[in-house]
Amino acid sequence: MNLKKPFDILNTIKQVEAPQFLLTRVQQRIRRVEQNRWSPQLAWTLFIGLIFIMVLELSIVGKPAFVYSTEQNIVQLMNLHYDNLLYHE
Amino acid sequence: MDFEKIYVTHSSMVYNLALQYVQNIEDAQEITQDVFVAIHESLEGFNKQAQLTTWIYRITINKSLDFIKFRKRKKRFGFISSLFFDDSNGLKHDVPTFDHPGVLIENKEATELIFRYINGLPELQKTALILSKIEHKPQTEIAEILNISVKAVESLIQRAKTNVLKKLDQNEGYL
Repeated sequence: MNLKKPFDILNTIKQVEAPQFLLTRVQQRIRRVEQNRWSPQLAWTLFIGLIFIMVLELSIVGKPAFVYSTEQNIVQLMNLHYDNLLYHE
Repeated sequence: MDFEKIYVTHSSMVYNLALQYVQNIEDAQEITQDVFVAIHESLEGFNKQAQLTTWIYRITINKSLDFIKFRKRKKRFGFISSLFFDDSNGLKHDVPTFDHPGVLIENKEATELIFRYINGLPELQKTALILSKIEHKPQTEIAEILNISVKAVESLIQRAKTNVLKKLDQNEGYL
């Protein structure tokens, strides 16, 4: 093989037509992308649902703090000791 | 802007440019589809500051380069997995074949050789060379597509040609 002028050979490359069926394939892919996309309504619904669950979770998790302070008040009112030193004398 | 009209006007341009990057029909078809799906997604946001053709060229170049990077990663993964798995049926990764429909049969061997060295160029040099020598774009248009100066385009083309000739000389004793 004799490469006299290597870049001249690139001039001989012809332009070809794109296959006709490609448009159909492109349209099918676009349809698939649109079907898999989440709608804004669904996204907002999920977001609000998540916030609701988090608020609910925090209200349940935060409960022992109230219970603890209520217990402490009762202990103080009855002049009791919270620790158990009697058994460690 | 009518998407189908854009497809009809630009599909061959996109397909041919993709062919220059991958040199085979299947991969070029894949890239063409990627490009037009991306065009469809971004058409609303197209601000018309650049010309439509320039914008489509940029998308095609980026998608072609992404495809090549993906193929290289796949090849690397295929090689590594073949070290660990017994593959008596042959290679796990696809070997790209030179199947460019725009190349004349009598020039196939020589063209395949040149493309082998063009494919080894850095991305910008490869792109500048393809747009200049195969797509026959003027340097001003290449500068607009790549968003660089004309002087930078000139320098890229010169370096690309030098690198290809150097490789030809080293491997084929061309000079």
